Amino acid sequence: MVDADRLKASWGLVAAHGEQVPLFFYSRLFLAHPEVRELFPIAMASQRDKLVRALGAVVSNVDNLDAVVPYLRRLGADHRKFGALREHYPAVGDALLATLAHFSGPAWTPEVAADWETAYGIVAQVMADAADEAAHVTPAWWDGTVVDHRRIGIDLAVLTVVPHTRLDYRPGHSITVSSPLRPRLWRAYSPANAPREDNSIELHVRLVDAGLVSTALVDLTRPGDVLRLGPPIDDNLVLRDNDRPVLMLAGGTGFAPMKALIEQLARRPRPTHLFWGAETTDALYDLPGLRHFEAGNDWFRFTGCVRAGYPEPGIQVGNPVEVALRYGHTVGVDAYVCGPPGMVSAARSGLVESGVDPACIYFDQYGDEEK
Amino acid sequence: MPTSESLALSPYERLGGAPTIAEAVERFYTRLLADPQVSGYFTHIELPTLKRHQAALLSQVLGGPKAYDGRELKDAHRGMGINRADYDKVCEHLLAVLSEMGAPQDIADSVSGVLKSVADDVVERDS
Ligand SMILES: Cc1cc2nc3c(=O)[nH]c(=O)nc-3n(C[C@H](O)[C@H](O)[C@H](O)COP(=O)(O)OP(=O)(O)OC[C@H]3O[C@@H](n4cnc5c(N)ncnc54)[C@H](O)[C@@H]3O)c2cc1C
Ligand code: HEM
Repeated sequence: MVDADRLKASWGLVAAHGEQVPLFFYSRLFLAHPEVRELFPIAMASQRDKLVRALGAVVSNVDNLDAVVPYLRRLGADHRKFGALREHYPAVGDALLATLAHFSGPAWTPEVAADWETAYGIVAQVMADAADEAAHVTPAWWDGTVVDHRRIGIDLAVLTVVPHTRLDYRPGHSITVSSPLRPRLWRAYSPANAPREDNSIELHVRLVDAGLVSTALVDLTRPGDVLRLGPPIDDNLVLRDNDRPVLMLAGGTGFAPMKALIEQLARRPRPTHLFWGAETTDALYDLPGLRHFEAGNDWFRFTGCVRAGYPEPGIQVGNPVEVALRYGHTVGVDAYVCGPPGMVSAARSGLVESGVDPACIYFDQYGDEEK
Repeated sequence: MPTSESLALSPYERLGGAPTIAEAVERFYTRLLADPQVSGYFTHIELPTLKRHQAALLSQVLGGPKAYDGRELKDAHRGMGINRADYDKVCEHLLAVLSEMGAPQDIADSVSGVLKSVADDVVERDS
């Protein structure tokens, strides 16, 4: 039997070495198993690494296997887009164990080693099995043609992409996107529309300074280009099926999944209030559309929240969290929150303080917590 | 302490990319061929091929672009009868070159650790 507490302690010890850990892991992986190099991005900067962090965290949580199986199955199926096959798992496991051994020092005993090996085997099996099963149902990734590319202001583009075969997703989902200009780099974006008959997906992409993928999508992508799309990554923002009023807090392009949810709600309306925050009124890039929609749907309210500017009808000064809390009406709501990490954490604590049940706050954040 | 700039770069980029790696490989082979303990492993091999191979491998180990189409390390060394002392000696030369070329300590430590950790894939005899 695997001693999961010991694994977690062991991982804590190793993870304390920070960036040295992925550096060692990838060196070891690519030296011993050169054939997997081509699955990874062209340049590897270790601090962006998610794989090693996830490996340690996931594998040392095997005692909680039932809870993580859905995540692992999705991750395994998702890994098909990287070209990860069952036969690659032993190479990654080998590099993981060598890395753990290297950083554990004397704490690396045969028992700890055996536990890691068993735990990795279990996780790898779940992921590889899920990948095999998914292979019967969905492609490893979807090619999608950009049919429209609309630049809004200096730092935003709205792309319409049509996958060549049906890509099933639900409003609130995010999918990952890779551009041929940035091979093997995948980033998450949220479809801004409920699924359509013609399968087309609208993406709102904000230009991030020096960002590899966002610059390609906003500045360099043109109609006719073909992007790769991955399957939906998690269900965090999927609409919960009940009759509670809906409170939406969005920052920047965090508006995208809210727009998809609003289209879904329109089919079965519930009282809904969207607070959408941006720097200025101009940066609320779908203002006319929202005002028009609000005028025709009495169940829907919209309040724009700007950092700089003056209040006007439907527009308040302040961030969406402050403005929503000022407005009140938070009792008994389901709250959906999406935006940058700082905004999301402020929203969560503010909502809880104002009496929203933490279990009724659903959120996605665009990026990692600042370190 | 790594600076915030170094944080965004791979070890390969921090060392100076392709030119640095090419120079490192050059110096590495000069040392190997001058060392009677290990030169025997290399004298009968086509050096340009080996150098290209080594540069590619080194760059990809350091997080540079994919360049290497080689086999698993173990397969590539099977049957060569490499012994541990010789392996250690070759590693020593590589680390000496990295140090000559000013590789920061964290990269040197990592390379040294990795070389140790793959020893069993390469070494077939203990003496
Ligand atoms: C679930 C989810 C859904 C997302 N949906 C959307 C969406 O609908 N629209 C959208 O535009 N983006 C969305 N993002 C963010 C997106 O995935 C990318 O992180 C973003 O486009 C930057 O990628 P890049 O390759 O351009 O930047 P990178 O090359 O990865 O990063 C460059 C630099 O910018 C910093 N950085 C990374 N992301 C951000 C950011 N968002 N803001 C400020 N600095 C950043 C990095 O730390 C790094 O220093 C989503 C993210 C997640 C996790
Ligand atoms: C137990 C086994 C594994 C776990 C838990 C795991 C987990 C992860 C996670 C969480 C990510 C980040 C995904 C994201 O950015 O959204 C990732 C990325 C990745 N994984 Fe895995 N993985 C495993 C095995 C493998 C294997 C066997 C391969 C194939 C060699 C592989 C190849 C990749 C690649 C290429 C990436 C993208 C890396 C990047 O963009 O820098 N993984 N993995």
